[in-house]
Amino acid sequence: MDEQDEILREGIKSVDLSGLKEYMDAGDELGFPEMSLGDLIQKLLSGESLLDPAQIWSAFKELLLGEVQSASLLGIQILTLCILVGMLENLTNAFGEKAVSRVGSMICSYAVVGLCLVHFSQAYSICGDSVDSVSSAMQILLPVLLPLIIAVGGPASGGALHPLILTSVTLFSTLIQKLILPCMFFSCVFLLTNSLTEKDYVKKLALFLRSAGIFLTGLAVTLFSGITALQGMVSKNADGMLAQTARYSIDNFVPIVGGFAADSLDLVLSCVGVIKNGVGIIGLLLIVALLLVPILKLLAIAAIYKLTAVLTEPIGSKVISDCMNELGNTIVFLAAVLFLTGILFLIFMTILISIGSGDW
Amino acid sequence: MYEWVKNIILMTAFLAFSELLFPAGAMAKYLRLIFSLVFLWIVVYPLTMWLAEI
Repeated sequence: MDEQDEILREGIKSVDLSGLKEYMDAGDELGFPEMSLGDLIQKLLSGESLLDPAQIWSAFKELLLGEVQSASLLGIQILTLCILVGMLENLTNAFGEKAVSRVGSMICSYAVVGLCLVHFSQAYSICGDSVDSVSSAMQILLPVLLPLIIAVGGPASGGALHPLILTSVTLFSTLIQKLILPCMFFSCVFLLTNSLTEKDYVKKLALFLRSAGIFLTGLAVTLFSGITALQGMVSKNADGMLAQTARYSIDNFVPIVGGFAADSLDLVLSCVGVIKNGVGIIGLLLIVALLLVPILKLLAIAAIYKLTAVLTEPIGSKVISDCMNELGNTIVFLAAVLFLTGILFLIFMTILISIGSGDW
Repeated sequence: MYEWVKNIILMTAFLAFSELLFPAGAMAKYLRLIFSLVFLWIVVYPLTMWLAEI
């Protein structure tokens, strides 16, 4: 056991996770405990639970309620404006100045649209920044995992998967930032401007752009994760052969101490495997923390938009109520894009953790 | 792409104001048709340019 602890201690010292320091605070909002790689491995070896479910649940509730509270200010502002617009329209009949009250209603609608656009821009930047930060975290984590994967007896997997996953992360992040998020933004802008006119001019164009964005995201996730999983399966067999060959060679060709050397090799590989899995679990928790918080924020904003649509329907203009509803749907789609990004990166981390799990 | 979106937004805002100024009666639907055709041209124009380049 002392030998194992010594190997683990030396291994942990050699792993440099300082690049992830700025992202480690993301877990605080979700109630993830602060722990170093050494603490995590100690808990893994002793069989202790890594996370406290009660703490996570209470942090989750606090976060959700906080986001709903901060987003509800927007809802109150829009509701106030809609009540004003509704009163203006109802006063039209009393005063008979239809053109003037229509201009007044239009100006109030413009104010509502402007407010919605400002808040949607905030939701859009939350989404963009989250994809950026999780991609940067993956690009910092992969060079740390690669030497560990090679050391644990996976040179073929490490050599093949590292450039593949790095390219996939970069390509996916670029696709999201340059194509998918702009599609969502333009969809929102068209929905808002369409609400200003009586006739629908760009509603179907807006809905088409939104559907195209989510379709492209799903397609990219399926392609990248499929290719990586296939490559992982193929490389795993090659690594298994290499590890078995090395063990057999040491056992049979090294005289006298060959058996002891082969057993020591097994011990070292197991210890490096534990460290690799520890780093992988840190990566998994980091991805969950970096993406879950923005997803909850977006869902809270979407819920407020939907609630505002429900409340403005009886009192305000039908157009504004429909506009709020469609905006809420667009923000839900933004949250779906983040969710699919998280799924993709979680699949990558799972594939990397499963390499060298000693099942060859 | 941004130029195209800007043109669509400006045209929609212009249409929204113009609908207030439309005269009541038979002329309104003809004016609406003309504005719709202009709007269609703004939406389709970048696609025609792209096809012409190909």
